[in-house]
Amino acid sequence: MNMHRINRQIILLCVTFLFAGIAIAQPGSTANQIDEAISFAEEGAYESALKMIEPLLENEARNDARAWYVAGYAHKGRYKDYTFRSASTSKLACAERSIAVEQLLEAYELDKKATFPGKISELVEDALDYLSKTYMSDAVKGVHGFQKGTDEEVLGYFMEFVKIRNVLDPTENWLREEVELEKNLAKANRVLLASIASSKTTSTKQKEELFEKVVSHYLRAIELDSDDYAARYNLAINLYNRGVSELKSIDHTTSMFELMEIQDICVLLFKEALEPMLEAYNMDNDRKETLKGLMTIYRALSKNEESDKYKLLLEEAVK
Amino acid sequence: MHNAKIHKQPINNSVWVVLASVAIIAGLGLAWIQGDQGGPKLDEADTIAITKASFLFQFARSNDWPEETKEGNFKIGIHGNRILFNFLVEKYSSQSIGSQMLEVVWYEEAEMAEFTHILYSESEGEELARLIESTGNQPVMVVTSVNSEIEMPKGSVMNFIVQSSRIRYELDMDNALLRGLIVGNRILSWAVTR
Repeated sequence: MNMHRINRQIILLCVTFLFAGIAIAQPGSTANQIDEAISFAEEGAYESALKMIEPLLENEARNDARAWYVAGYAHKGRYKDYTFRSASTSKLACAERSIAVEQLLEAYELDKKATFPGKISELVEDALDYLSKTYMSDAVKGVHGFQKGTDEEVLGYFMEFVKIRNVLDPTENWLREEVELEKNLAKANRVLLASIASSKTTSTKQKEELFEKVVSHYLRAIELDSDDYAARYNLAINLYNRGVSELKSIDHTTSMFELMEIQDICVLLFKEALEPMLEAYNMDNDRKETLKGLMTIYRALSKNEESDKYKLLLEEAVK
Repeated sequence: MHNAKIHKQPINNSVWVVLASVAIIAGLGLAWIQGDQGGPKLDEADTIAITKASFLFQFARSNDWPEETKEGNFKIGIHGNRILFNFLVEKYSSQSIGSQMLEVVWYEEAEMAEFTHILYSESEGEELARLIESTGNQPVMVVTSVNSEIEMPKGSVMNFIVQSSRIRYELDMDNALLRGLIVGNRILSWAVTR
């Protein structure tokens, strides 16, 4: 009796496996569709791969790491195609890359939860590593070929880079790079401002906006790294120079009222410059450029005693 | 089979991509380092001189001098501040005051060797007294820069002082009238008192 029961159970199990096997191998089944999508993706037929895989992601394959990976891979492929045809920062390329990252991250998360994680994760890591570097590359390019008003875009690329890196290796710290990026953006805005400073076709408002960006990037760099000497020094110099540039803008067309108003603006800027310059001095009080900066700012504020004090310190430092 | 396929080279990221990525990161690091160099340079222009020069031009433009001085060039004499002199020459020497061309004259000595409509000096004490004396009662707007705690220098018509880190000027109206100078309303209204 017992033997007969065991035999029945074995037969039942075999039938179940048989049906399951048929179901898996059946054309149109989820697993089969994923396989087909993989084949398409391997051949570079990304459109076809996505057409096949993406509807599945909303239903049958929503918990399948392999499916998410293939979709992400295909979008990554399309991103590369768009980059080759136009630029990595074109709207289409950016959109593809963004979806690729999203889908690859999903695949990564699902694979980590799986009973035997690893296979997909390794592939996803490679793909994400590549995409993260394209973001960083775009951030660098964005700084080098900086155009007015692209600050947020450039920062966005960097933030995406950090987001991916944090997933790949949570122990990595990219704060130093973020500080440098902020300082580089400040510099990029300053260089742009200097190039249009004498232009009469550029409005004062536009110049003002650029200057505000310079200041805000340095302030952000200081906020991120309270020990950053260069950000403080450069912020102080920019504020001071801005005041001097206001004074230099005075000419024969300037009225008495405007002269008084410009003086008020200058004094305000000089006072604003003093704080970060003093902070920079307190961080490293042997640096000649800081001593010179303080000597100059105090003189511009007509605080001659203070100015002379730093002049003496500078003379001693030069000896 | 497909699991094997998924590991095939085309779908995996190839070696050159990794190498390119390393190059990007290395380039990036270099770019940051380079980016932080060549920061802004301190503008060493003498802001006080610029401000005072701007005031002197306003004084020239907004005050009035007797008719007999309205021939030839309108002269601003500078003593004791070469930077201010250079700035005035550079910025305003091509301008005119009324129908007179503006001319900036440099005085090496504390003496008004030739008539100037405005005479600015940064001297103090005896040297300043000597310079003022050399102007006699001529219609010369003597402008000084003495931060005395008590009063403005004797004989001076205008005197630059510092108030709340700003350059301002005080005016001796009696002296101006005595020299036959007519102080403009704008100049009068911005003058400060102690």
